[in-house]
Amino acid sequence: MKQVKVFLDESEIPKQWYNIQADLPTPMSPPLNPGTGKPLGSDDMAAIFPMSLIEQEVSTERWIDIPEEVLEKYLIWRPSPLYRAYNFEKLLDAPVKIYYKNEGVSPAGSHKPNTAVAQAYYNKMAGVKRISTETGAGQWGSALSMACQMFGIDCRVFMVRVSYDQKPYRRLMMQTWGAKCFPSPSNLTETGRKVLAENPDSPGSLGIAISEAIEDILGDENARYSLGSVLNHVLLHQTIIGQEAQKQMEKIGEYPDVVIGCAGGGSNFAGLCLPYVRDKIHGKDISIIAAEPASCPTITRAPFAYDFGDLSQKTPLLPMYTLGHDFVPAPIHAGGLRYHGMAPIISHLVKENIIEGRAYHQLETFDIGVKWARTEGFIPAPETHHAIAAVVEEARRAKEEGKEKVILFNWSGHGLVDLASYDAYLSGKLTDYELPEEEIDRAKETVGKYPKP
Amino acid sequence: MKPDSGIKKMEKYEDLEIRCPKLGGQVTFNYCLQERGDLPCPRVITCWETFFPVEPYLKEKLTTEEWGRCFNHPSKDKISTIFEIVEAAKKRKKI
Repeated sequence: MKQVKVFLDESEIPKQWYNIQADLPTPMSPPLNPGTGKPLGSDDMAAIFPMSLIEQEVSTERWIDIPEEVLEKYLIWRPSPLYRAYNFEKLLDAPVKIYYKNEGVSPAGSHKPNTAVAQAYYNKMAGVKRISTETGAGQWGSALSMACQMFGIDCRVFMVRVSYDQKPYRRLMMQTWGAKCFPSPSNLTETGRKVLAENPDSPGSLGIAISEAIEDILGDENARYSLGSVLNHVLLHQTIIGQEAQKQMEKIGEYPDVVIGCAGGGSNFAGLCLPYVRDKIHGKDISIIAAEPASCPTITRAPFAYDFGDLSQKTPLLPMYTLGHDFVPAPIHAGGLRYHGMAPIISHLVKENIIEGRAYHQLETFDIGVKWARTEGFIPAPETHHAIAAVVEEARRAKEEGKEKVILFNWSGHGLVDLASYDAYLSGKLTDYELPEEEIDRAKETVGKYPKP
Repeated sequence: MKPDSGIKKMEKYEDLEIRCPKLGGQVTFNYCLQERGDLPCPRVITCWETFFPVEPYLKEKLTTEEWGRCFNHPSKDKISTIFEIVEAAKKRKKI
């Protein structure tokens, strides 16, 4: 019988997180305090984060011990299994071996608890009694709710109203784990009340939810804020995924030619890939691919370009792009690395050409996600589709080149709470819209009225 | 926003759905149009331009002043945004 899963014994769970900052070929620029323009210091951050997490945020130590209490909680679902996707391989009919780390086995159904548990622990150790956070669709909010419950901390989640109304199951998960989940904008904060006064039906936004969560904790010595992506310490906590994968691959005598993760805020991609980035920096021949949506690119393409050309904002606004199906956006400062939501570490690695971004269209990814579910059984989260799409592309290339490849990717979460998205796809609501020629002409004419950059 | 967009044909787009990278879930184009209250999400053109000519649509919808507030300023990374919010909240709360 073929081996489908590779397990680690609980005693083999990695005991340290890996900090990529120790191995970066060039150091990262520190984030700046928007008020002073100087690098953010621990005083700036101390108002919202406990000191131990701030220390991790700026640490350049290569290895950081995982506290025993965190390991105990990790063991509820970790080490997560490494799977070989034999059935999907058969469907692709390409000379590839496909392995994936199943992070959907966590209680919250995704990789998010890897940092939620660690953050809850460090807050508890700092004497914090309450944590507030924001959440979009609820993946982060539910993970933090569970983690706070594990360490006896009160948790408040400001969930963007449009998702609060659309995603009752994640909200119910949060409530089941004892958190208070509020639709944002809410009446709990001045920010929320102001928005509601202007528009009682406001669907909210992530920006409003962040503002509410921060306002909720500021001034309360016993309360702190928590973030589930972007920050260095968040990515650090996720590296347990890749370290486990390295041990599991070693057990079966394999090493990947290609490592793939989907890139939203960067945390699940970083979790699997950063330990392999270390290998690459030290000479391993390995491709590391960050997969993202083509319609909302963050690393494969520049953002919309009414933007300054450099971070000091001294250069003039850069030219905007033109319109139409033949439109090719001009690349702007290293591929649009200034997206609000992308982790600076990931942006830095793209800029250094250590990792490669790839973009996939949403219909293509849903089609592939459904094929995955029909062969491997597990229903992937929609963001995971992008990683699977990159796997398919790599398999196709291997077939064309007649090369054997070992592919490893992060199956970052299940889609059982995202079935509304599947419904949108299966019922045809996500169909790509083919624009009639006359509308393209009309559009071009409209744009033509505006001054050219 | 201007009361009459002048592109009636394009109003049908407002119910189209897309997966929002900020929220991690499906939203309609109509949501993107009001993501910042009276202004669209700054990413609206990047996200939707592969589906339809969103740029001229917005130019019909928005006043020049709104267009400027929405698009003619540098984008900020999330960490900067968070610390701006912290500073503003501190001032408001007189901390």
